[in-house]
Amino acid sequence: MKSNTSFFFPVIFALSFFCLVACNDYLNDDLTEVSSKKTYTIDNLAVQLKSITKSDRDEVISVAGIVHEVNTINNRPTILLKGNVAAQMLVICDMNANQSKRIEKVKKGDSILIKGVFKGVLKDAIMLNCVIVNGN
Amino acid sequence: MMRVVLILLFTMASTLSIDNGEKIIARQGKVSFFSHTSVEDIKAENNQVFSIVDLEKGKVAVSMLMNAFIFEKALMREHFNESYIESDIYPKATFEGEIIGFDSAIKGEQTRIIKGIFTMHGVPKELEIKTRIENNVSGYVISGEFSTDVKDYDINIPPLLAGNIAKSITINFRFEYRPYDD
Repeated sequence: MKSNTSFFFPVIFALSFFCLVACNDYLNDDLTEVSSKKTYTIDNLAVQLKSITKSDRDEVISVAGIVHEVNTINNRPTILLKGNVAAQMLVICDMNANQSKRIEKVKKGDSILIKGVFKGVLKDAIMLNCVIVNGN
Repeated sequence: MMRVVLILLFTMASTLSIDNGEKIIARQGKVSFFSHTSVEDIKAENNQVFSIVDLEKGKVAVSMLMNAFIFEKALMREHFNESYIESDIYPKATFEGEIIGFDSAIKGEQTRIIKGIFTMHGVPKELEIKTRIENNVSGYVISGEFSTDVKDYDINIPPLLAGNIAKSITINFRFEYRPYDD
């Protein structure tokens, strides 16, 4: 009986740990150390959106663009990126809470690379839990 | 001749300004929902809801990505997207409607009913929503609250989890609009 217990506890512990790791996903994590599945400029993102499949949703991607606006609408620090071509769609980056100091340095017109979880497209592309990769 | 050119230019400018002023959009509208049962409370919010209003016609359209809702717990989001809403199959919820008796010239606050079709999980349902419309210096803000029944949207909740989810869900919304070209 004792040997059974000593066997099961490590197994249960290992399974619990695996579940914690496996069940957790990108949305609540700091993505700083997570590598992107793809990197886009906003201009080629607009073109490539036509070929985006279900499998690309909820993946971590990086987007390079020009800062169109920084705001805190709904009390969410958000950076809106635009491309070089006028009237293109924007990318709405809902920033991770740990980015507040970096966001303070971001200005309209800056070139920036942002990484986040791609959720899909309405009028604009939407990314959540974003972190600034470079640019500031 | 000069007078004709000036009149033409003025007319064109007036037309352009009316066109620009006709439609307003919100890129970062907020929609949140709340479910209360004795077992647990579930709340989530989506802060990137798109909406467009045609001020002249009083028409409203709203579109949101169902997988962009933020929950307190990852497991709640997983159940919501994979088991209930099936966001892979039905990625968006939409609303198309008309503001009854809307007058875009009124400054300040007005309360109006918006009547339209809300489609979620592929199921359209006609709704009438009491809405507060503010027209102030910074633009239009439309906000409100309504309740809707889960059973109306063909959402399959396993009997084991039925006690965790309220039969009626309260939905709050707030949209800050800007000129379409902004």
